[in-house]
Order: sequence, then C-alpha cells, then structure tokens
Amino acid sequence: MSGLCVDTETMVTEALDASVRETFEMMTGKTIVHSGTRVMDSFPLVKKELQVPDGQVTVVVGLSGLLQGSVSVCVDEPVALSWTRDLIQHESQEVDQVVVDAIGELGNMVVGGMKGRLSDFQLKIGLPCVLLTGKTHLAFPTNCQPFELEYKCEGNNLLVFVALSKCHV
Amino acid sequence: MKVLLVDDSGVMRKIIARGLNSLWVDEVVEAADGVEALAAFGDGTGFDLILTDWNMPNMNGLELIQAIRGAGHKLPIMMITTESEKSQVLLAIQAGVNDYLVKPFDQEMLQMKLERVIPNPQTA
Repeated sequence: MSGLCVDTETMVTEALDASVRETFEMMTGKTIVHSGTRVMDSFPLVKKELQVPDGQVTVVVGLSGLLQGSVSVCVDEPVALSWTRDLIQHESQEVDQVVVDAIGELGNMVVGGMKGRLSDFQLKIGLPCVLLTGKTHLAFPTNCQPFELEYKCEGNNLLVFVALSKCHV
Repeated sequence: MKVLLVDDSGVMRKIIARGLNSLWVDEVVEAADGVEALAAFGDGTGFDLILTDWNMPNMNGLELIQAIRGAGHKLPIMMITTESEKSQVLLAIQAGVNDYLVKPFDQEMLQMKLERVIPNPQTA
C-alpha cells in the first residue's frame, strides 16, 4: 500500500492518468500508452555505484493541502527532447536549459491537471524542480512510498511516481 | 491586433505567441509577471487583448487584472492557467476577466477562445 487509502489512491491515479494523457495529447498531438500502475514495494537506495548518467530527466512537483507529498514525472531523454521539439520547435541532441524549462512545464501541466480533478483536496502546487537523472536515483521516505504509473511514448519510457499521504488537520 | 501576453514561463509564452501569430494577431508583447506587464501596458494605447497566467512572482494574474480594471481599462482580458477549480474561475470573473483557458490546451481551443474575445476582423 502507498500512504493513501484505496479510495483516495484510486481517485489520485485516475486524475493523474487523465491529466498525463490530456497534457501529451493536447500539447503534442501524440498518444501515449498506459502500460501499468503499481505500488512500489521497495525502492533502490541511492548508492555510489548508481551515480552515473541514466539517460533520464525527472520533474518533481510538490503538493500541499489535504494531501501532501510530491509527483515526479520521469522521462527517457528522447521523450524530453521530442516533447520540447513538439512544444516549441527547439531542436537539440542533448538536455539543455530550454529542455529543462519545457520539462518543468510538463510537470506543471500534469500536476495542475491532476489538481483540477481533485478539487475536494484543496491542493496547492509548488514550483517544479528538474533533476537530470531518473528512477534509479529517486528515493522516498518510508512513510510516503510511491505508486508508479508507467507509459510508453514512441517506444520510450514515461514514468510517474506519486508519493502522497493524507494531511490530518 | 496587438496582444499583451503575461506568463512567467518562457516556454509557455513561446507556445502561446506562436499560436497567436498563426491566427489574426499582428503583434505579441511579452511580460514575465504582472509588474512587467503593467510597465509594458502603459496607458493601454494600442492593446486589444491581455492574456495572462495566474501564478506568477511579484504580481500574479489576478492582481494584474484588478490593477487594469481598477484603472478603468475595458479591453478584454483572458486568463490562461492550470487553475481550473470553480472557485478560482469565479474569483477571476469577479476580478474582471472576460474568458478563461485552462492549460493544457491545443491550437483549436486557443483559436475558439480568441474568436470569442477578439473576432477575426477578416471574417467578422
């Protein structure tokens, strides 16, 4: 189980899935394929041997309100580059500042769309933070184990990690 | 047709400006927050529309709308934002916004909204 009850987890998953699809389809005209959702039982600890480039980029967006935690959207570099190209016609073979900005905007739109679908939770979103790394370098507190939504975009990976817990007020 | 486009995201400004330039907008003036927008707006002469994001540093979109309306300007203002909750939309309407476009959006939606606030002069 993640840090949420089953009903809330289902609502969050559905809202996020709808938002991810909508963001990609609206902004790029591309369809992405949802290939699975699962609760992460264990996550690799960050170890020295993992400190190598992994060909992924991650945008992390913090959330507060009646749910608190973060949503991380992790994409293979080809997805980051094609997203940026489709969005603003920026051609690059590597992740530069424009790609970082575009990936930040991806996180903003995905989490913004989720927030709009979960208005009962009165969510507020923070500014996105982009990490030049991916899944193997992410770790989460034990009280906030994420669940993962997995997508395929033109043969490459797009992963969404949702690490939320209910805020007791 | 001249539009003042206000968004703290350079990526989003590029997307929207490109969309507007492919329609019937002649000139897009960009600003990164409400303070820059007010400076660019001046006395408002020549502007036909303001498109603004909500969440921005220094002065947000809602404060910008209130400042523009408070100064008596009647030109159309459209908000383009991820804030889609009913309460937020109502706040924006109360502040004087004419229309509201939720991100993400596609070119067709941008065109439809633009048509409502400043119709294409060639087809009007």
